Amino acid sequence: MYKKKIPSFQLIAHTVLILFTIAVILPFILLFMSSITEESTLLVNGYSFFPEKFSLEAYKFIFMSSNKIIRAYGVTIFVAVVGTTMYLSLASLMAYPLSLSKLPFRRQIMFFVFFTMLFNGGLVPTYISYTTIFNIKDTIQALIIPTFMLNAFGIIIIRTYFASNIPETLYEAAQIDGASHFRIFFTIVLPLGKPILVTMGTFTGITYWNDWTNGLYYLNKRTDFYSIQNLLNAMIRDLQFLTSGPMASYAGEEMLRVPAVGVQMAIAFVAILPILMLFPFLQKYYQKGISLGAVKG
Amino acid sequence: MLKKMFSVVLLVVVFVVSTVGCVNNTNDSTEGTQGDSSQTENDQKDNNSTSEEDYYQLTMAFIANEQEDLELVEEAINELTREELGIEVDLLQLGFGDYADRLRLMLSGSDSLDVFPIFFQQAGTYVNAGQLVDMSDLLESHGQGIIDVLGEDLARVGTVNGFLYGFPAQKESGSPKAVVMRKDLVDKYNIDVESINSLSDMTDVYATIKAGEPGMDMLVGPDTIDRLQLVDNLYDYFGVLADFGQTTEVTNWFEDDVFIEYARLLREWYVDGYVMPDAATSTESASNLVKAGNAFSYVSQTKPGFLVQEERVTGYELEIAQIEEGLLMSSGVNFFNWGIANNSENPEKAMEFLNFAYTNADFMNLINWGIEGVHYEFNDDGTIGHPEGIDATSSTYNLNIGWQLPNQYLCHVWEGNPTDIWERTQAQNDEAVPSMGLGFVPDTSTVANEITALSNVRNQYITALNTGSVDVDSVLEDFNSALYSAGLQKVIDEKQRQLDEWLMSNQ
Amino acid sequence: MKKWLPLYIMMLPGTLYFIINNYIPMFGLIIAFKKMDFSKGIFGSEWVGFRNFEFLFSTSDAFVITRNTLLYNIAFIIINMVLGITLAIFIADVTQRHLKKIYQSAILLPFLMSMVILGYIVYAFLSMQNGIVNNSILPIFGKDPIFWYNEAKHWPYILIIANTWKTIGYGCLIYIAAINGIDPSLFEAARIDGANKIKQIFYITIPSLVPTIVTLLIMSIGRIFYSDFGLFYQVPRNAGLLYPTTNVVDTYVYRGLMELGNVGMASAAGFYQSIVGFILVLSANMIIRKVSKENALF
Repeated sequence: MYKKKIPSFQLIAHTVLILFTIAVILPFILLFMSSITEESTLLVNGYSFFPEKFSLEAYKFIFMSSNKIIRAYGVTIFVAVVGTTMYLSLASLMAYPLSLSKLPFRRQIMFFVFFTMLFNGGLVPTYISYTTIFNIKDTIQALIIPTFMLNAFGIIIIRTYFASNIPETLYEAAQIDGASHFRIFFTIVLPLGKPILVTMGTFTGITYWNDWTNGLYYLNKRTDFYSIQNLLNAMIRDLQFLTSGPMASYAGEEMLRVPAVGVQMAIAFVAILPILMLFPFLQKYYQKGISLGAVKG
Repeated sequence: MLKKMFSVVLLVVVFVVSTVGCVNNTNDSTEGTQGDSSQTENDQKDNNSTSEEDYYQLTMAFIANEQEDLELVEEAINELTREELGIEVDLLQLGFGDYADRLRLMLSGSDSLDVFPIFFQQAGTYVNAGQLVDMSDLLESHGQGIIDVLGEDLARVGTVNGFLYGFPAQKESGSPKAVVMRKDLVDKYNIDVESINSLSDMTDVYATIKAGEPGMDMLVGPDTIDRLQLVDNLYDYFGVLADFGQTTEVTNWFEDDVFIEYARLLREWYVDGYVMPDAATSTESASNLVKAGNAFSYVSQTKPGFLVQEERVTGYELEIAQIEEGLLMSSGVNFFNWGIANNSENPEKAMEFLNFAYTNADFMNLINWGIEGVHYEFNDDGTIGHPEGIDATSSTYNLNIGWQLPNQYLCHVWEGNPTDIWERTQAQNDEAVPSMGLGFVPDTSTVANEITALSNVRNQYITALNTGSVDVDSVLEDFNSALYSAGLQKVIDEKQRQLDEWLMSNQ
Repeated sequence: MKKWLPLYIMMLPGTLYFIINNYIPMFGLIIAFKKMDFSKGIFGSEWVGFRNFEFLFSTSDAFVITRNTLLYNIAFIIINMVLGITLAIFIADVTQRHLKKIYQSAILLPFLMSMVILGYIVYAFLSMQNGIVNNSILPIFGKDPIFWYNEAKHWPYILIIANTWKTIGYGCLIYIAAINGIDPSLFEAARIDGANKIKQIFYITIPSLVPTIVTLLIMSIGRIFYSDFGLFYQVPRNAGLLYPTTNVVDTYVYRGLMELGNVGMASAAGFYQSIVGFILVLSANMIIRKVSKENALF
């Protein structure tokens, strides 16, 4: 008889993980429920998992400006894809040399990189630099290049991974066979580094997806370059401002045009949707990279 | 695999090169800051769409929702301005939520910006950071129209420390305050609206209605006491002119008997369940809450046409009971002023434009309402409304920010409002009580540290006190001692000194 | 030297980016020491030494905001580390493909929710009038409603939970990647030697994670004076009564300068945060160099 004993470790692990998953999903369910709750019910009864009155008004409102939203999606996807590609390229190209213990000036270069995490000129100087020296206003590059295209965090994490998981003897072996550094990079480092690269790529992709600041600062006239988050944030901040003290008495009519809370929830949900659908497909990349054994041969 | 990687690297290189290639090569001052006036020689025209020729390119910013037909209206305006002023206008729309951040960046960089609306809370900052142009002389040389429209006094009310930074918009500035109530409930419970003359008269009203509608919130709004405008707040409430501004002594509002009386009143109401429990944290506007059906009343400033407007927004019939007279104070008048940014390449031209804006009815109507026949049509009674088949949500241009624009008195009247609404507005302003500090704008740059600390203290307590969410006696003592240790006395003394000086020089 | 050249070429694009994006704008750090007058430009403005920094120390709030910033960050670091590693180990251990996908997706989900929306969700739970907690949960235990947004004492717990919920994924996913990179032959050998799961975790998994743990730790220390503005401003809905436990350096600066908007002072605040982080990181790195040289950042 084959008795399958459930180890207590797995029991604990699964319990914890299930609780965790529930805790994670709950707020999203609430988000969705509030987006299909009727507006006045929201204001009177608050948010609820079991709304009294349903309404698709919020989504109808969104579809009225659907071409704006679809274009915003397009922009966001483009920016996220290009930005993430650039990020991973730049970061891994820096991380690999820095992972080699014998690289001359390694310590100094690491400091150069890490220093950027500690000191920042601030928004105004960055803005001045990008707009006056580089003339980046109202371009699509403005959504990709500033701030997010590379950061010390990624480089350091990737470097740590390369250094701990790829033995340098592997490099030496390859070099004896006549491989150049570039060749080693493409044939050994990148394949073995897949788990960390996919991880950092995910972070960066999501960061780009969520970003609304670049669009806010650098797009004056080209509002057709607005990302989904720009649209959403614009609405929410408009609302926050119009309901604030001094403005309230003047706001009057404007209130009619600023979407209500239900619509904000709907937009937030709509903004998340594409990525939610993407998740299952990303999963296969998280599996273990090509095992060392295969490469050794 | 290898090929894929190489193409990625190629992408990287191409990208970097295309970006670096965008280096602005006409720029001498590579540090990218405002140099001295020679800066104006440099070409900063990256976002102009109209033809250059010999016209001066002027950028006018304003704060409103996005408008589909902005370019169309801009062109119509340009036909006017080219002829009259030799100027081509570039309209820059800033959103309500973003404008503060975007202005801050534009004024710090070298973006093209000539005229824009200056929010009173930020005025001092801009002035002290050298981001605005002092228009004292320009007013004399190019601004006669503005003086004619506003009068000598109001034309200079936007002056701080002798620096004329902005002209006020023509709007309701000294509005009476009222309690706005749902008419159906007022009728149902036979409330005598005439007998309501001050906020405390509402206690009985709330008691009556609450008894009949236990699930309803009687009073909503996070800043009820502030809205009563019982004092001249001298811009930030740190040291005020109490007693409706009828004094020249600067005192601490939060120790004033009147404030304490109202704070206690609100607390009583909160405890009795009249005030919405979440009043301090809800971000919903009062009118939205009424619209949702669960709120009975709120306090607000009123103006001619207010009732119609609010009824439209809330969807209910409303009743208004006036409780306080209008108060004219600098911060109210200077709510949004029009000034010239330091970025402007030709302040004289900009001043000419402002003069034009204050005096030209065609311009005002174009910018606020759009093109006649396209964006609005005249009704039989002389008011205007949406063209056939268009409504508020499908309109392609309808700024409706008269309160922000230079001179809305020149504009057509939107339907639902009395055709003599501007006369009434001005009459209301004239009836309002002027504070003795009207025209005085304090310069708090010398006490910047104290203001920072005070802002934090005030933010900590004010909403709770405004809504009665905390027990007044225990909190008030903490609040005031925190204010004083943050430096309130220093600020009061400084404001008093400046006020006395101003009073003397304006004798 | 020639053999190292290709490596330096590799690092060129990244270096260029840092110069453009990070180092050039650093000229702005001078603003912290100047009374900024834009009509004179940055270099023409008056030098005022440390005057812009005074507001950070002269206020009675200085102690509160410093304490809050530090304590929260320390709590975040410890909790995220312990919980992150635990979850990572659990997930890496899961063998069923589908379950693993679900769990890994679950970790990523919170990234998608912005702090503004999270603020609404928390409000949905804690709203005093309509909140789920006050209306549905507390009555089950027979307790009275709590005025969540009026009482500061609850918020350390609330904010820690909110922050953990939102950020646990970062560390967790990185740990998972690191665990996936461990040579499986190590586990083979251990199994043959008769080590059970717990032993494997403590003798193989965790030691292999040490470089990653140390790296993340040092970087967190560098940011110890910074806070997530959205977390401390949006989630408590800027409620004044909660300031004693929710006001941190970033929110204090924002609230104080919103009206004044003095660029110099805002810049000074940022500079102050950077310097503290810088000193702490150098110290931490030095200590770690002494203990295990290869784990130090530089």
